[in-house]
Amino acid sequence: MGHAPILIVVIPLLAAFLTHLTKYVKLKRGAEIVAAIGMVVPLALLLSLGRGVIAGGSVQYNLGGWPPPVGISLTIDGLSFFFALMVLGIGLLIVLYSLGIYIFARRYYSLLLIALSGILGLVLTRDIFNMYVFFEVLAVASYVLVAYKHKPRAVKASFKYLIMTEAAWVLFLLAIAILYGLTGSLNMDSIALQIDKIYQANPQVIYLVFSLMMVSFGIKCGMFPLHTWIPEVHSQAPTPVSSLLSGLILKVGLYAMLRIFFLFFGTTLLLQSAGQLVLYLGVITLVLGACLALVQDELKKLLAYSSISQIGFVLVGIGLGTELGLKGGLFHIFNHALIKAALFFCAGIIISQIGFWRISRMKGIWRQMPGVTFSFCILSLAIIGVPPFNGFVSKLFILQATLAQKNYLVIVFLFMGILLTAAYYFRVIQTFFSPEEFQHKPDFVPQPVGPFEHLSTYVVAVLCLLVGLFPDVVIKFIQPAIKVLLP
Amino acid sequence: MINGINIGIVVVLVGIYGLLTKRNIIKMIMSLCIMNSGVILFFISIGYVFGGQAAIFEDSSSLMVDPLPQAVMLTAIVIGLGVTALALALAIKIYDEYKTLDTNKLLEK
Amino acid sequence: MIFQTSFLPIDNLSRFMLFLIAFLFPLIFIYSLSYVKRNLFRYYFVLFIAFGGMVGTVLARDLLSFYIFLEIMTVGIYFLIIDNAKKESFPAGFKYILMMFGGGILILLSFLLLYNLTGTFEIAEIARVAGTLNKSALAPIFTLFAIGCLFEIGAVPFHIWLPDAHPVAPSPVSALLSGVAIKIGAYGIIRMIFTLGVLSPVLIFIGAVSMVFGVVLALKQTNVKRLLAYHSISQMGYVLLGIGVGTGLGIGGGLFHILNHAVFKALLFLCMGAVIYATGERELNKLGGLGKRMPVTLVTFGIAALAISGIPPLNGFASKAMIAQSVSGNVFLKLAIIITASGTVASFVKLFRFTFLGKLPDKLKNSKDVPVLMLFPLLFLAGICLVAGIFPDKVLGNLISPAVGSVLAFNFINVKILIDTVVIIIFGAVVYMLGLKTGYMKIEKGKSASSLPGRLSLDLIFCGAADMFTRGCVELRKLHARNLNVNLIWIFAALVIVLLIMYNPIK
Repeated sequence: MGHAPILIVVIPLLAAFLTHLTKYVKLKRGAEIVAAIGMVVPLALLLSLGRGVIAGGSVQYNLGGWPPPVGISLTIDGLSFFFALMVLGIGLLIVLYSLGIYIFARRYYSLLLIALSGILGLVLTRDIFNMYVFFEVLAVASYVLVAYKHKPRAVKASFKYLIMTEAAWVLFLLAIAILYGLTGSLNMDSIALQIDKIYQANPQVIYLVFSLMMVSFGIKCGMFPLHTWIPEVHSQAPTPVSSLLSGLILKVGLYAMLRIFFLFFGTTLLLQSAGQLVLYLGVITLVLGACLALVQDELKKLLAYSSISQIGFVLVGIGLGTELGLKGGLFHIFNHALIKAALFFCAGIIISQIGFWRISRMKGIWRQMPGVTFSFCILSLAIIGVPPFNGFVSKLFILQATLAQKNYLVIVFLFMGILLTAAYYFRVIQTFFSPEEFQHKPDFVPQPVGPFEHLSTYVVAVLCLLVGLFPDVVIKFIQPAIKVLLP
Repeated sequence: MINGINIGIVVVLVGIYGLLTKRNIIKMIMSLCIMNSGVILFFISIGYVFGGQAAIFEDSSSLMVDPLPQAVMLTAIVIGLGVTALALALAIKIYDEYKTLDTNKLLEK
Repeated sequence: MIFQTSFLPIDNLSRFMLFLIAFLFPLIFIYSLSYVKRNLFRYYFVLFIAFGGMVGTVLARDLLSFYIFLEIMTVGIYFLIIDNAKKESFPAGFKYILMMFGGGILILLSFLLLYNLTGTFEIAEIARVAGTLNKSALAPIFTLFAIGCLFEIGAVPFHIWLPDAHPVAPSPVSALLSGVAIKIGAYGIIRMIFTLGVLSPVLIFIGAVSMVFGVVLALKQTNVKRLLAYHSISQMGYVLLGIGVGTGLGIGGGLFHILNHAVFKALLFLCMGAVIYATGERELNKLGGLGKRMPVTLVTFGIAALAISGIPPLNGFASKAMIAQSVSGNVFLKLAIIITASGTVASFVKLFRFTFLGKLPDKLKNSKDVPVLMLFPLLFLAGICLVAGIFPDKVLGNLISPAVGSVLAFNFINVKILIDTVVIIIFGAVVYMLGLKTGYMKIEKGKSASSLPGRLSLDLIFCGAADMFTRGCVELRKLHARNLNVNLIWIFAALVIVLLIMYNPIK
């Protein structure tokens, strides 16, 4: 079991290629089975390491046996463990949803596995260039996934996504180059050891590195002026891919921000202007995202803007930088990944039934689709932050952390954000319950919706309630992550 | 002042200029490549030692350049190649569908 | 860690509220059995969620559970309000849910501030710690909490959801909403006064304004349920007035009025529900002459109308007398009480006359009294009105005094009350005559003769602000560039701005 950390990354990658070989096996759902195995085995490996990690330890693995400053090391500590667990959990959920609509789609499962292995890799690695490589693996797989159905608008969206993300990664590479020039190392821990001294001697260059990283992670996580790719890509991508994007790929930017900012600048910059910068950018993101979601008429676009707004909440938690703020931020990352993935599932089911994307065309669908409407209501209540669902707990922590800092201006905006969230979700819900009968799109054939799609939304709806009632279970996983961030 | 680091930065800025002003998506892909090349040049120049030679241990007393940036940039070049290929494939697809490569015109369709 | 509510009342105050809910809810449930015809599963599902939320709120031992159950109740009631699924249900429900969430977040913030101050959410613990704290630190927290509760109560200036939500909801839901849900806010304020020991005299002012405002607008309403909704605002004004005085007599009067109002307002809504059930009409100009067709409804409605007007020996007079006694020193408040009482009399005369007396329209010839499952709650509640009105001292001694925590004694049989009653009836008659003469109280729908009350409606401010905000968002969407080059310019501009902020050249 000594090789567990690398196996967690490699097994999904291996499975990705094996899915193509299932063509030669007389198995009914070969690709799906391989994909599920490719996620369950790493999950089992991860959980086998769980006890030690939750107790506060970490597992380090040196690739090729070379010790850290020279070789690449993979480390599973509290933060990586939390994110890796989330990635595999949401990944399995996406596979569950896909079971019904992507039958014999080997390419789809293969790309999904590559993307997940990319996320797992960048979450586990401690080598900053290695992180860049995994970012690119994830990015390339997700570009193809967005354009998977070859719809013209999806291809266009994918192109936009490609250009903007690549611009982000070029900036990140530049930051890596500068850091390497300064420290002569690519290992995060050894860079972190030297960075304080460099900051004392020459703060300007550290500012430059910080700004480059801020912008590149900001593009990835959808911070305000950098969010422009999100609505288009989320609304055009196939439904499970929208869930993947919103649930996991946006969180990757947040992970990088948490990991690198707190490791490199935790004792210097974040305590000064940088923390405030993240905080106020988060506030702007959350209010403007909510404002734009309020006036969207396309359901998937509304959900995309809602993602931006919720990321704003997380950024507020991160920007506060206190233990409570991080607790709220990490919890909200988890909640948002779970809920938003399922909300996209609901949107996908509804759209596949009526053929329209616009909310104004979804009047009165609750009579035909009571199950989906019910889970949509539960999920949107959860993300608004209505107790006793999980969103309430994370928003409570964020509010509490902001109040503890006596930052009343931010409180006003958080108040506005929560209220606007309620406004745009209830706008959708009341359309669903409208007395009018909905009309199918002319000559549109409703696609059959199987039990798997519904099941995936119900599972999340139940999870929302359970996590809301017993938040301690999740907090147990968050606590070691905070210990990593704030030693 | 003409060294690899400065030229690398200038090349990155040229790439950024291209991204911001060019409306043709092929030109935008080219700008992205230029930006990437600039960063690669920048990174390699950081590890370069004037008068050094490749780090192949025949004579350990001689001056040698830092091998790590070179190895790392080889990876980055490969990634850049892959991304460019994908971007061009998407561009072909877009042209097939819309018969234009202009981002402004694409917006209207 | 989130739920610490034990399923026992913490003290007599919550026992009192629990009694109120437990006694009203079964009646509403029975009434619904024959009133509600569609979507039964959904209706009862959310009805029980709302019920659970109400019970949880009054049982809450810690502030966090109070908030949690309050929100559960809010969501439940939202789905009950939109249950009819008519066109106007949705804007009303939207208004309701947003204002409730707004108030809820204010309440939550006040709890969190209190937590920062005392380090606990436990009510008993906070009460212990609050005694040692400076009152000036607690006052802003109390203000924040009270504002949140005023949203829940529907007091002026946060009342705008109330007259919209009541008419569109099914009648038993209106009864639940007016009977219990808006009382939760008053319960919260009383609970906080007991816990923190601070009080704001602004509550008296808000109470008085709500009383007058509610009744003035109620006079001109033509929709039967909207008229009752405005009376809810006005009657909750009485409660707030009593609470704001803060003496044992005041709070006791407030609690007594909570009980009385719950009984007679639920009865009124259920009666009107019966009328709507029998006729399908809600507008006064289409009703009339139903007295002969619906005798039971006529009698119970008459009892409730007399009770809300404060005529002895029906229950409304007792609590009103207590509240009037508690503010007896102040001329303005006395004036407000007289105006409100006479306006109430006038508007119920109007409601009674145009519903049950006069000529029966041809369309309603076939209407008859409602099924027995609906009549039973009406008769039961009317009986309570009578009993509580005849033996107010028993109610005061057994229910209110323990809840307030001090022995209250009040002489319910004196000449002053009799004089007051006569004055109110005379003034009410005068108001009714004037109202009919000037056309202010006319029953035809449409533009009212005097436009001032129309402007008084704060809808314009809240909804206008919301409208303007939405229009701003639309503008924002138009500004939001979708061009790839422009988006890339944003990215690099953001890079430059972040760099500038980090370098901070001004420094």
